[in-house]
Amino acid sequence: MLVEDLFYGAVAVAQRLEELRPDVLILVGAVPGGRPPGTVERRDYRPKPIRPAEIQRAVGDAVTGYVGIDLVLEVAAGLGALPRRAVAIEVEPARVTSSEQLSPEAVAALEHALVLVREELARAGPGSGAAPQRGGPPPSPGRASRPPTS
Amino acid sequence: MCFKNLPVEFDQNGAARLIGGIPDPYSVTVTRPEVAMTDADREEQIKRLSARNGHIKDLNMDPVTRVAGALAINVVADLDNGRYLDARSQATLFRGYEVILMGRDPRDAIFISSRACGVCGGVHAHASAYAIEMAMGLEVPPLGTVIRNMQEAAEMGYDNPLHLYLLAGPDYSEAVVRAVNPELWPKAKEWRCRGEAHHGFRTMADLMTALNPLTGALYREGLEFTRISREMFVILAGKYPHPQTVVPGGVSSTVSLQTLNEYHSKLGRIFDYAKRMLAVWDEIPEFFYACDERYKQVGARPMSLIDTGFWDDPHAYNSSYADCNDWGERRWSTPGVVIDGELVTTRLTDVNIGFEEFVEHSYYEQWAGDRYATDPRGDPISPYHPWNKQTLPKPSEKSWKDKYTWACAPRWDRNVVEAGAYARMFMTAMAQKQPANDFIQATGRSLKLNVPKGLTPEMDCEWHVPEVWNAFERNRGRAYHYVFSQLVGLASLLEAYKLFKQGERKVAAVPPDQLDKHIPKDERIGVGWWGAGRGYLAHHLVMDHGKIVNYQICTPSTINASPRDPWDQLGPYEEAVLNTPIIEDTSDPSKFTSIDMLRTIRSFDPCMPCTTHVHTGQGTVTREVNTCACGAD
Repeated sequence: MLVEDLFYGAVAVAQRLEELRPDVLILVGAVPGGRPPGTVERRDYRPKPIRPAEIQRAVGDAVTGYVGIDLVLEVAAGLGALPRRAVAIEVEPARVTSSEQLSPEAVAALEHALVLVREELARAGPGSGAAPQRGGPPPSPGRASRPPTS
Repeated sequence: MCFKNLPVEFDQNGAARLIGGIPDPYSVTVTRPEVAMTDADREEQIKRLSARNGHIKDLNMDPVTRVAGALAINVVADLDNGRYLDARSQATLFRGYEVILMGRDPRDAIFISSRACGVCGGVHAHASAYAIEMAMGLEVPPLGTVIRNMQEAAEMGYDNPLHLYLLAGPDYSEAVVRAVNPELWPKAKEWRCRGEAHHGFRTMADLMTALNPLTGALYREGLEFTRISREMFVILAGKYPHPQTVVPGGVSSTVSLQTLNEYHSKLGRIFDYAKRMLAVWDEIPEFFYACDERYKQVGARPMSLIDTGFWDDPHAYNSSYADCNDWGERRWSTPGVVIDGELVTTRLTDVNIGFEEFVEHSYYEQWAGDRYATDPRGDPISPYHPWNKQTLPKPSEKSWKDKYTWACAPRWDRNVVEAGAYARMFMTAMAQKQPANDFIQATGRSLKLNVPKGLTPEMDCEWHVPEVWNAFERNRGRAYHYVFSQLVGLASLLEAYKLFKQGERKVAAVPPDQLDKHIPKDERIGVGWWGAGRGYLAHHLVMDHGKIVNYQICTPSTINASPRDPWDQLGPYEEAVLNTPIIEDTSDPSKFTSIDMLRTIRSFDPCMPCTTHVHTGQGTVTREVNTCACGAD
């Protein structure tokens, strides 16, 4: 398992994923999404065909400074860098202004988010390669021993 | 005597003073530039034409895509006669880093102002450190300056190909050209490339296909090379964007010979790529000009540019305002101002005292009073100068006659000037003041660049001051700037090796944990003149009792996206759009894409987060991706 702060742009994240080739990607973040503050949401990324124009638009956003989980998913998928299994675990922030501390709502939600991360790791398999996606093919021999990455 | 509008003259020692006998000399009604056409004249012209021509269209491009952040362009187009009659540039969102920084420890500015932009991930941190160390009187050790130069050469190595291939490049790709300029495609297939030996494409059609988003070879290669440059930055600074190792008085990185060697190995890979880049961006203008001479007018505007200079001579830079004209002219790229094709000054004090910002057409209140009448040398500065400016946001309804943008209107000597990486080429080529070196030579009208061998042989190339200044030359200039910046990186690396050999290891004036003792309690001012991927960057700082009491960031895109000024002079985007002919087929107005205008705007490489120092409206970008929140699996 590798834990990284993916604070940088989505293209750079996609390039990092190409380098790591993880079996599972668990993205954890707090991007406002209109939910009640402190809400914890887990989302599975479901690949879909994306038109080149849409990917280019996402790449354009990414290289011009936008940072966000959905943008990472879109760009990494478009550039073929997303592992077969990608999960987003998000906390709805109460505020996004500069601060030295998290909001009380985010602090309260953090433990729940960590529980979800642990569940994902457990689902991925104990200390070795990720478990195959339900109904999907088993991990390839070359990647089966690689620990999941979050 | 560089000022033609401001009432400023110089004595025999080069000290500036106000011309006597002018009451309220900086008043916008007293000191006025010559203006060919007012807004009232322009409005009258449009009314007249509208009355007899049904093809006048009011178009709003909101947002302009493939630029950084929120930019809208409103144009009035005369499709019948193929020209734009009016243009207005709008920065549509605001966050205001100047407001956030008030009352903070000045060192916070390095980290907070860095977040003003997600594209320019290191330049604001550096500019901020320069401003603070000038105010604090810290002298950077030579190796600290060299490391900063290397970091910022790497950042340009990231920024320039990103724009050329990921943002502007698609405008010249097969996918776009076949859709919006189909008449060019047969010519592209016939066009035998002159630079095939360097870039590898036999015809222009092949080259255009390589520019296609995502699938094109040049697009993919651009992505890869931005990565190498980012890695070079990270080797030195630990992370990119928003490095934590830029400090007042130098850097806090631990630099070893291994660090330098790693940087060297990556830089060595860039030069072959750089040669290909020049050949590509030399080929594109030649093709378009040959197809239709009117392309020379796309994005055309007067050759009036400004730059602060970039990358210091480690043995000249001492952070002092009193000495800034000396160390400024020793920079790898010379500071200066070009007005109508003539270099009028290379002195940083002139660049500074001639600079003003106006808010007549911006969503800000005019501030009252001015803190300073002069700079630290005693040269006069305007009430509109950044050291006097206050950021007072005042959102209101959009009104073309009144306020319509979050960008303000920076002017130099009350002239409209443009910023860009390419401005460094103009100043450096014309001034011929660069330190002696093995790689770059200024001739007065050109810059000769000696690109070292990689897998391909050493190559001499030359950027010339262009005959016309337009969208194509901006892109060409940016490609040459890429090479220029990487040669500065190489020269700085060699200087770092030399300093290491001499036993130099010190990279900061003061260890960061001892900076507290050096923070002055009295009132101080400073300015960080630095460069961004898009050109001119200045941070003006006022501090008192150890806290920031005023902080003003002026970015290249603030200059370029500026609205009208108090005398109805158009901002650079607006001016360039107005001069752009509509070459696109307009026989079916419903299919009109405004590609000529878009090529114009994108050639400036707009960065709107920098312009208004915004993130996004609510800090949120909404997009739909296919995810499911229904639970595990």
